[in-house]
Amino acid sequence: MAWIMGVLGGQKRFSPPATSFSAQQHPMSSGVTVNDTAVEAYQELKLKKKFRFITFKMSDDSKQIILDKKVEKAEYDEFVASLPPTECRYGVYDFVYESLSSEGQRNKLLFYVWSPDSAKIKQKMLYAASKDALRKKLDGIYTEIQCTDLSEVSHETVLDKVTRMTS
Amino acid sequence: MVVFGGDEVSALVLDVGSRLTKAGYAGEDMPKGVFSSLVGTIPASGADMDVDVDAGAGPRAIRQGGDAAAGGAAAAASAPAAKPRRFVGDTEIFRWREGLELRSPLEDGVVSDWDALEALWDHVYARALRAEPTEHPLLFCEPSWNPREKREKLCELAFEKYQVPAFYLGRSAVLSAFAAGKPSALVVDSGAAFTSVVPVYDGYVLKKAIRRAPLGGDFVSDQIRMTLENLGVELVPQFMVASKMPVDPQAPPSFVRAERPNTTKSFTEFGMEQLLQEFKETIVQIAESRFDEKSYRKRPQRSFEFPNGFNRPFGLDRFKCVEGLFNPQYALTRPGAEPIQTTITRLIAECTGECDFDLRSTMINNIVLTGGNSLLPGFADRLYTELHLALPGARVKVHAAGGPLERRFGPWIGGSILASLGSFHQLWISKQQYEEMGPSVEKRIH
Repeated sequence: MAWIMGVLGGQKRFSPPATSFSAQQHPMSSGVTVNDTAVEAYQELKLKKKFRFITFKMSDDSKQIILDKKVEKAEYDEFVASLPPTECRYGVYDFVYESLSSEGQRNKLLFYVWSPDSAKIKQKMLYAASKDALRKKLDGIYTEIQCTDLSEVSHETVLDKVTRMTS
Repeated sequence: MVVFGGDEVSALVLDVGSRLTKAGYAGEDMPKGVFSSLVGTIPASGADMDVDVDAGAGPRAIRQGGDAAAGGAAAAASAPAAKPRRFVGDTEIFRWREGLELRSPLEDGVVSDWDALEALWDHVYARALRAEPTEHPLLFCEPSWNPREKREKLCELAFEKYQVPAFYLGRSAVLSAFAAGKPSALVVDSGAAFTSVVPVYDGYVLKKAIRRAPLGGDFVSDQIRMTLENLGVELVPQFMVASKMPVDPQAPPSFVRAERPNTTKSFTEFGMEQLLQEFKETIVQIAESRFDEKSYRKRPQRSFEFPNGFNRPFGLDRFKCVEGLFNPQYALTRPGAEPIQTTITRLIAECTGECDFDLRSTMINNIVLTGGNSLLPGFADRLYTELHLALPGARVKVHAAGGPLERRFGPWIGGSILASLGSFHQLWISKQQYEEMGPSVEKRIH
C-alpha cells in the first residue's frame, strides 16, 4: 500500500505547501485525473468541428477519465444509443437547433453526465465524484445535462432546456 | 470477522447518526458494525465492580486480536473507584440495569456530548471492528450544517487522541448525492431526529438554503404513541413484562409486571421506542395519495400484539397516525407543546426557493431520498404526489435508492466507496498537514 505510506510518511507529493491549500476549499471529489487524449478530442470538436459527439469513460483501474468514442457525423439518436444502459458515461454533444428568434440555426456544446439507475453504485459514486475534474478541462460548455434515464436525455427534454436558457 | 493483518491497511468509515452508529471498512458494501448511538452510564456507587466494558479503551488498551473485554476489565480495576460505569453497544444497552441512564452524543445532528462520542468511537475500535486507530485513515460522515468549531474538534480528536494517520470529513448529503450518481441533487434525508433538505451543487453544499424540521422517526414514534394513548392502549415496554398469557383480540392483557426498581426515564423512553419501532415496521403506512378518511377506511386492517399480550386490529389509524408528516392538520400535539406547522413538502419548496433560479429545476428534477424514516411504506410515493400537486408543470423526479439497506446506510456506503479509491489518497488530511496547521486544517475540505 504505497499510497498510504505516502500519507503516513508525509512524502513530498502528498503534502502540498500550506499556502496553496489553506486558501481554497475543496469540494468532495475522487481525485481522478483526465487523460490528455480526451481533452485533445474535445478541442478538435470545439475548434475544428471535427466531431458531432464524444463520450468519455473511466479507465479500468479507475484512475483516469479516458476517451471512449469520437463520432464525426451522427444524429442525436445515435448519441443516445451510444450510452450504455447499465453503465455510466460522460459525453459532449454539439447540439444544433433552430433559434426561436428567427436567427436560423445555432449550436451549443452540451456536457452530459449519464448515470443510469441500473448502474452499479460504485460506478455512480465514481462518476459523480470525478465529474468536476473533467468539466474543468472543457472550456466553452454551454450547459450540463445530468441524466439517469432516456427521458432525461431525449432530444425534446434537452431542446426544451436549451431554448429556455437562451430565451 | 475479517482480520486485517500484515501490511494490508484500509480506511475506516464512521457515521454517527441520531439513532444508529455505522462503522466499517472502506470498500465493503455494508458497515460491519451497526449499533445504537446511545451511550449508557450508571453513576459510581463505590462497592460494586462490574466489568466496565469500555473504560480506558483508547488506543493503548487495545490488545491486537485479543480479548478486548479482558483488557477493559484490567483497566477498570486499576482506575479510581469513583468512575461511572459506561455501557456501549446493543448487547450492553438493551439489557435493563438499575439506574442505567442513556444519552445521545448528538443534539440537532451535531456532536454536543464529546464524552459520549468518544465512548462510541472507543467501542468502534475496541469491539465493533477491533482495529488499531493508528493504522487506518478515517472518514467521518458529518451533517452539512456542522459548524467550524465542531469540525475542528473532530480533527483534533482524530489526530490527537486516536492518532489516526489521515482523516476526512465527508458531508453526508454530498455522499448521498454522489452515491445516487448525481453531482447535483436535492438531498432529502429523513432520519430519526429530523428531516433535512440539502441542495448539493457540483459537490458543494449550498448552506444558506438548507432546511430541516423535526419531522423524522422520533416525530412518527411520538405520533403513534399519542394515537395509541388516545385509543386507551396502555403501553408497557418489553423490559417491564416478566411473563404474559395469550388473550383474545381487544381483551384486557394478562401479564406479570417485572420488578424493575430505579428505572431511569431515559431507559423507559428507550424501551418505549423499541415498542413503537416494531409497531412502525409492521403496522404503519403512509397514504400514497392525499389522505381522506373515507377511502382509507376501506384498506385492510392489520393486527398488532403488544409486549404485554394485548392485541387488536388497526385500520384507518395505520395511515392516520403518520399523516402529520405531510399534513399538519393531522399532527397530534401534546398539551403545552408547540405544534409543528411545516411539512416536508414545504421544506423542499422553501429550500429550492432559496436556490438560484437556474438551479431550481435541476433540484426538483434530482431529488435524492434517503434516511431510515423514508423506509416507511408509501413515503416516496407520497412525496412525489405532494410535490407534483405543489409544483404543477414542474418535472419532479424522486430518486429513492434501491434497497432498504442503501437508504439506511446511504452516506456510509458513499463514504466507503470514496475512501477505498486509490485516487482519493491525495485528498485526505494527513497527519503532517494537521501538525502544520492544527485543527483549522478542516478548512481545506468544503
